[in-house]
Amino acid sequence: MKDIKNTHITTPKRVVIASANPLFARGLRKVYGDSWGEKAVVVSVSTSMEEVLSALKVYKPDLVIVDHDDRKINRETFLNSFVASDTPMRVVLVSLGEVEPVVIYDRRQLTSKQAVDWLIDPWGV
Amino acid sequence: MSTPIRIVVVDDHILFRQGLVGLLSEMDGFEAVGQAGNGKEALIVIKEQKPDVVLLDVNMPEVDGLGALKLINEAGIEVKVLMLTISEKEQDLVAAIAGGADGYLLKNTEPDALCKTINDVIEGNSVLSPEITTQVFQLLRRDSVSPSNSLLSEREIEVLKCLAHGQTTSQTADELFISDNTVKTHIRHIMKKMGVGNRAEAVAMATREGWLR
Repeated sequence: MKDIKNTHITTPKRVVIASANPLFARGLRKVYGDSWGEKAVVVSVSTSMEEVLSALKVYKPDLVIVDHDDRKINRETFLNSFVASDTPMRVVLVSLGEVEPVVIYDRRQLTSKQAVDWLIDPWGV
Repeated sequence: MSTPIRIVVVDDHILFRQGLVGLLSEMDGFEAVGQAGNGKEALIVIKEQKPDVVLLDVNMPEVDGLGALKLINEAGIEVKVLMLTISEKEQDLVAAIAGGADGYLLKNTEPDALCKTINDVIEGNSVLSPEITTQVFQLLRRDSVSPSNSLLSEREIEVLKCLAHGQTTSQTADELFISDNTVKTHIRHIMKKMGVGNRAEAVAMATREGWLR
């Protein structure tokens, strides 16, 4: 009989990508999905504000990557919702319209290159 | 199995660029052979890799996409250039088309549409995003109401058309029922208004601007 006490099961982190730009969203999903492997799963690619807010409620993600274009996905609306929520999660705020800055949940500002490196292993697993 | 279309991606937005390269790598028929973060780097990569297509952003530091397009043309590099940008600015669109871009696509494009556009461009077609197509139509309609050639009078345009057909001063005078001296005066005014040094330059510029249609 297998000793389940020593069996280490890691639940994959849940990731939501929010972007109204399909090339950007699918590109992120491809690159980081490959990089994360079994450590994380992209549970939703949301293309509008309504979809993002719904995905936050439904999936309670560990990480949300938000491409705010201020047309379909508004930065302030997202942040208001994020602040009001008590779900522990990390957030990367990025905009396809601006190269810099990429803003991480705890208000640290990284360069795009630093964000790329950070996203390879956001949980330090 | 056909040879994949070799692509260089030029964009200063590193997350977008890497994502696009990753996306292209999983699509049948495409191969991302290089990437660059500005126009200056792009020229080096393009010369090294000799791609079939360059996906070129407009707004970039150092040398932007329009500058890169100019450098590519000046270097005589034979490559299809597809602008892939967030910019819907009329001046960027016009400059890209005038600069010889084979297509102008917005970044909100679906991946499948990008694939189709790349294939279209390879086949020699020129392609615009649907949103941009509307803008181009509006631009053409506006220019037809207020033409760019308003710089020149109708008579001066007629004179230029004769010159463009290779007619001499006398032949032009005969065709327009005016004297040789009047033709010469018109030509002087045309060159002054257009800021060119001779008749050939005037004809070339007017042709390029579409004033002689």
